[in-house]
Amino acid sequence: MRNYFARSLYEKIKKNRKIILLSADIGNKLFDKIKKDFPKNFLNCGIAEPNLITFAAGMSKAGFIPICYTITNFLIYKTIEQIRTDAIYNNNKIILVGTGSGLSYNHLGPTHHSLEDIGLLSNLPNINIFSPSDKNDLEEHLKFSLNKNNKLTSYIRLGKKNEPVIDKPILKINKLNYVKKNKSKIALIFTGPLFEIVEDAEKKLHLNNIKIDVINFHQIKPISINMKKKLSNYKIIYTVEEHFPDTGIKGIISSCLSAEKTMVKSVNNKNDFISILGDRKFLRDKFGISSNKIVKTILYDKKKNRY
Amino acid sequence: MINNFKLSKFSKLARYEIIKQTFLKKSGHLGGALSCTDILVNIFNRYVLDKKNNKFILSKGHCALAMYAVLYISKKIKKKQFESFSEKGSYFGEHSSPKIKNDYIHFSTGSLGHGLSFAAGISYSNKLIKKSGYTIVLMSDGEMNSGTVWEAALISSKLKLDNLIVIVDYNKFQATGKSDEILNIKPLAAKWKSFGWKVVECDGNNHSSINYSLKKISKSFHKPKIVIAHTIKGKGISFMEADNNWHYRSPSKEELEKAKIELKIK
Repeated sequence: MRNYFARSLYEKIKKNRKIILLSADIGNKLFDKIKKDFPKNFLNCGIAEPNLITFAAGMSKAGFIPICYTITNFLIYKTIEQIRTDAIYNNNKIILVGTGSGLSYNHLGPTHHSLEDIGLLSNLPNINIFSPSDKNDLEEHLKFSLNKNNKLTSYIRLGKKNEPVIDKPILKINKLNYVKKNKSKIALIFTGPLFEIVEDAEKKLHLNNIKIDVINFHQIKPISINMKKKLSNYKIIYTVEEHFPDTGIKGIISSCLSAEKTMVKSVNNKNDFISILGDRKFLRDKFGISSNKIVKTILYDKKKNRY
Repeated sequence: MINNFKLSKFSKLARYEIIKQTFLKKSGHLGGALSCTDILVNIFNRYVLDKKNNKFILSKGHCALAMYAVLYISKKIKKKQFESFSEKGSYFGEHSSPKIKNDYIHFSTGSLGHGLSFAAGISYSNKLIKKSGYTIVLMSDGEMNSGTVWEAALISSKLKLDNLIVIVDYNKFQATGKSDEILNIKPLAAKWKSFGWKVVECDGNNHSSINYSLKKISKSFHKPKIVIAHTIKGKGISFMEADNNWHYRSPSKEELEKAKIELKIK
């Protein structure tokens, strides 16, 4: 996803020199083409993320469209006040692109994981939060965020690299985006690059004669009336995300459906740091994300006659 | 150009308006507002009001009242707006709001350590599009405690932002004590020099000293610029000067009258 980001951004800068990429000393070689062909549109601001955000807000005030890029936890956790006060409160639109989100940096440990960023940012008013499942989603998020009709600061939560591309129609902003639509009473909602796991679970459930809808929850904020209405038609919504559920999409969907009868359940229910090392699959497993866990959770409710 | 005598008269009037508002509203960071009054009067009259390319950023946002007073006397905000300071329904708060639409207020601060990074972003943008004009930032000495200030100092120096001028209102106090005791920021000039900045020091309560330092510093190139302006907290009113109780105290009716006499306001 990050390689596509660099390629796509190159094309966008080519068309609009007001776009400036500000990095916090990350992305070695990734942006070489931008640096070479458009040296004025790239600036390494050093390992000084709070300054990076406020500096970007100043550039926005002066008419540029700054994109702030670094590893998600540094981009969001070190800078929450700068994002809130200097970008959002002061109406200076910036674009935050966090890379290596969730458990992407499995081997670097919890200092480099981000399982809280959606919670921190969704608490702020007037911000768009996007979590692309593949590079095609990312393209739409970038287009929307950069568009001059969008006045709000945006956050785009990237995975790392080599995420598979999902065979699905181009996403629509402010609409629910179905990857599988089976007219089911239950929906499995995922965010970020988790489709492979979700698809595997869907197939296994199908073998058990359970049909589910699968939704790519790429737009976490704002949730439109249309999205809310469609969500409220389900009896049970299962969420899966590389984020702590209470403040992630589970918490957000529950809160927007609080006056409805829909039950919202998170497949991943671990609420602690994942300190143990291993590959990403192993860490996801430890965090409660696997196709087997999804299948088990949904089958259990079937047995209990919950849907 | 407005002469020093007229600037001194302007300063006295501004001080009176500031003190009167803190008396009426029982709010406002009085001591710090009075220490930076002369700096604000000077730079607004000489570098900001009739020079549209120059932008002013108040980084020590808690002294917005002093900025409002200067804008009010200069007829850049209306009497009604100025008098709404700290009142129900107003946006002219102890910290300015982005809801205020004014050609001279560009950034709402209040959290310290943000103004310099923001101003550096503007200055760098102006360099990219070859737009002339200075970004002038007023900071407090208490702000020098903040890590972001030094992050911004590094990048401004790297980018050779000679269109960026910082003025530090070095009144030697912060909220709860002396700024050299809470975190020793001395030697302040040497610190900024070592970060690659052009440094000039002046008496920040003396118009000819402020003028001289700004003229001198504007002649240097390839480095960001800082004027360390030595000031007195509570300046202008004998019983408030260098007394940190006035950091957030408001005067009684009697004290307001005394101040009025000292400022020779009729």
